[in-house]
Amino acid sequence: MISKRTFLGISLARRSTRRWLVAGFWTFALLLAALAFLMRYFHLPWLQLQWFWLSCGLAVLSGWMFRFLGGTGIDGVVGDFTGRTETHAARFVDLLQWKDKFETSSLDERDKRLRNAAHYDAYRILRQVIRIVVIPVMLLLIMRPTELLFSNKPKLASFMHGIFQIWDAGNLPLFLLFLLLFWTLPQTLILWFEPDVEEAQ
Amino acid sequence: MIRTRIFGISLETRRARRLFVAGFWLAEAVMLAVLFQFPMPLEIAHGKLLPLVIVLAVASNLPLYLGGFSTGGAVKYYEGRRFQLKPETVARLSAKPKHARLVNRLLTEMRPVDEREAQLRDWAYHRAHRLLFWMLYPGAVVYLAVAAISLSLVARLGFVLLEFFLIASMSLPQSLLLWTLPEDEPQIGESL
Repeated sequence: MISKRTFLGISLARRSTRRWLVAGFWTFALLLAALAFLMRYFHLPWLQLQWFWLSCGLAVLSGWMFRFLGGTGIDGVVGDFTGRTETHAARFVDLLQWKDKFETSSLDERDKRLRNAAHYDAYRILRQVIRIVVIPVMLLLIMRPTELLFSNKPKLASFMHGIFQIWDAGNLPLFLLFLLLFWTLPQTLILWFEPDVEEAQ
Repeated sequence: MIRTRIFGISLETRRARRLFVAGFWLAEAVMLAVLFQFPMPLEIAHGKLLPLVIVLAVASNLPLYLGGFSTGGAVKYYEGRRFQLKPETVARLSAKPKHARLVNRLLTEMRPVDEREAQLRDWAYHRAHRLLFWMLYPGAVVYLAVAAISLSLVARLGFVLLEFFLIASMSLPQSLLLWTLPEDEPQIGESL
């Protein structure tokens, strides 16, 4: 299932190395989200000037990050979930042979089981994340008019105003982070839990 | 993996199961359409909070009837046994004829999924995950298009899309299972 054997010359055969890779990937994603949040929250002048280029850089980075762990492409660390290989990808150009792409798969029975189980586990985790994230977001959307709710409680109104400001700055990074989580959680679980290659053999 | 009957509706044929799934999504579509009617941010002064909460609660709880992550739905509970009944307790309860059927159903419901069921479940989750992700793209396009046209509609649409995502994340795998499983799929009895 793991298609890349090395990353920057480091072997990915050992589980501990893959875990470091996954941890690094998510730390990087969180740092990017935090940077995007700070840019939007503080409205710093030098950041405003560089906003366009920073946005372009972030867009390119996020595009790369969506593909990095694999699963949905042939160039990621985890193999393509449909079993597509480089040969199949080349064939895709020839539309007349597109059917072959779906009929031939390089995934064996174990790979398919692993892939499906990873999706089940990922979905279970995401269901809880959605509950935790979506419900407060919905409440924020519903309870926006603070002056109506907290007109006689100025301290609470001020606190809620602060929360809404944080939300305004953080909604886009949060959404992108969630999308990345949704897209890459099965791959993350595969990389995290797959045993060492020697052990598996 | 699937029940023979729920709310008096027979689920023995695939056609019936597909009608059940179609009915479920139709009901959810109606709920989402109703949710779209509520202004966002909500004008609480006009007393619209209670109707909104009711519609939201109904829409969010309908997926329970598809089962999977809940007991008593159309699809078997995935996680298996949540509590253990002692054999002597089962024997004692089953001794009374009026309780025996209920105990039998309860034990069937709590039986952990076997290897084949686990594979089916995992397959459904894989497909649902892919499907849901590809649904995000048209969702984002519609959201951005509406944002370009009307800012007042965006908050409502965002709210409805979030609710849709919540519902789909809970019910899409079960819908796929009910929709695709063949007629001769082993069934697990009636709903509790």
